[in-house]
Amino acid sequence: MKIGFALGKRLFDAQSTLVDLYGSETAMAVLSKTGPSFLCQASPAENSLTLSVESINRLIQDHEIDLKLIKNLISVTESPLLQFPGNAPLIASTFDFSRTLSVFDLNAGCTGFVDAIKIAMGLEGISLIICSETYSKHIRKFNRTTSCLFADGACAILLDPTEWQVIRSYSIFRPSTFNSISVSSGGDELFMDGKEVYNFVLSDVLPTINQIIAENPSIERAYLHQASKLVTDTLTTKLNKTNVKLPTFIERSGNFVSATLPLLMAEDMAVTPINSGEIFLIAGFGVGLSFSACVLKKNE
Amino acid sequence: MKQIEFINVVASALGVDSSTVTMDLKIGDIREWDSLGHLTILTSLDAYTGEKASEISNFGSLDSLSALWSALVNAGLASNS
Repeated sequence: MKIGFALGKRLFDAQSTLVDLYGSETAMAVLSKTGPSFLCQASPAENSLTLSVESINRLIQDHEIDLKLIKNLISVTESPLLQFPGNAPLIASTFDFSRTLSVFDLNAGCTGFVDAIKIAMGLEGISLIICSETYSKHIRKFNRTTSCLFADGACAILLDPTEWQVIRSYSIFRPSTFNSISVSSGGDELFMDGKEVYNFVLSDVLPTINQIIAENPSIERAYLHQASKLVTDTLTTKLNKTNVKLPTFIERSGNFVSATLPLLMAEDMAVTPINSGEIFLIAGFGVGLSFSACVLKKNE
Repeated sequence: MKQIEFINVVASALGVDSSTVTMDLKIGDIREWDSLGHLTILTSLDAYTGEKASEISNFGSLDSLSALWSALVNAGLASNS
């Protein structure tokens, strides 16, 4: 899995903003739940398309990719440039892909990368998955939770299905919770019901991850969506008996929505590459409210 | 957990004086008890009960002190006496 990424160029100082508004004590209390003191956010000139293009250019530059060999392009974003079409044909038009390229648009949040993996592993040929998010553009009024949690960025992931195997996949969907994290059509204000999301984590996400690990004892490491420091700390604490390695970066980077998991993987794999034959878990959860996970194996 | 301890845990979680916390309080009643304040209450109660509180069904969606207290009592984690 080759990964290129691009982060928003505007640096938001969450810590100073919180201190100015609420004082040091409350600011630290908020950051102990959200995580990052600084967040990368899209500058006015940036959007989900420019970040997508930048991440692909980085992928090409770092890994010498032949775009003509790519058979499928899957764009994952909840912030498309246009209402329709989605970003996929816009991205495809920016580069010299094959004219027989299959293009897909996926409007999915924090499960988006895992959903795209599931789709790509069922397609013929090499897939390019682009996860690109600019949640900051949906938060006009400062909110001490959402404003200090979500970061903007994009990841381009090249996936050759002959190199990987999906051992098992899992999904959970919680009915009638679609408003818990949402932006209304034509609206520009992100709404998040933190307690409903946390309840989903406790009631559905955590038990399912425990179930997955119990059913797949060969899992050595798990890449879990970095929803917030609160959620990450909760999962880390309650999964500590499993001995599965849980990489994390929420305190340094924030929640990049669908781009979170590939960014986390890129950082971790740069230090500890995935070995041939290794089995690992990737799990995203959030908007929907939904949970999507794959147990993957790197082929020998 | 006695009710006075429960009130102190909640007050500490919200960063307010315990005199501000009454058993009829619910989310949104005071500025400090917003979505983030609510999560702080939940994690504080979970830590105080040795991570037992989070095992209560739908614990995360209980958004009033009376509902939280009742759930803790029913789970054997708190006592009215």
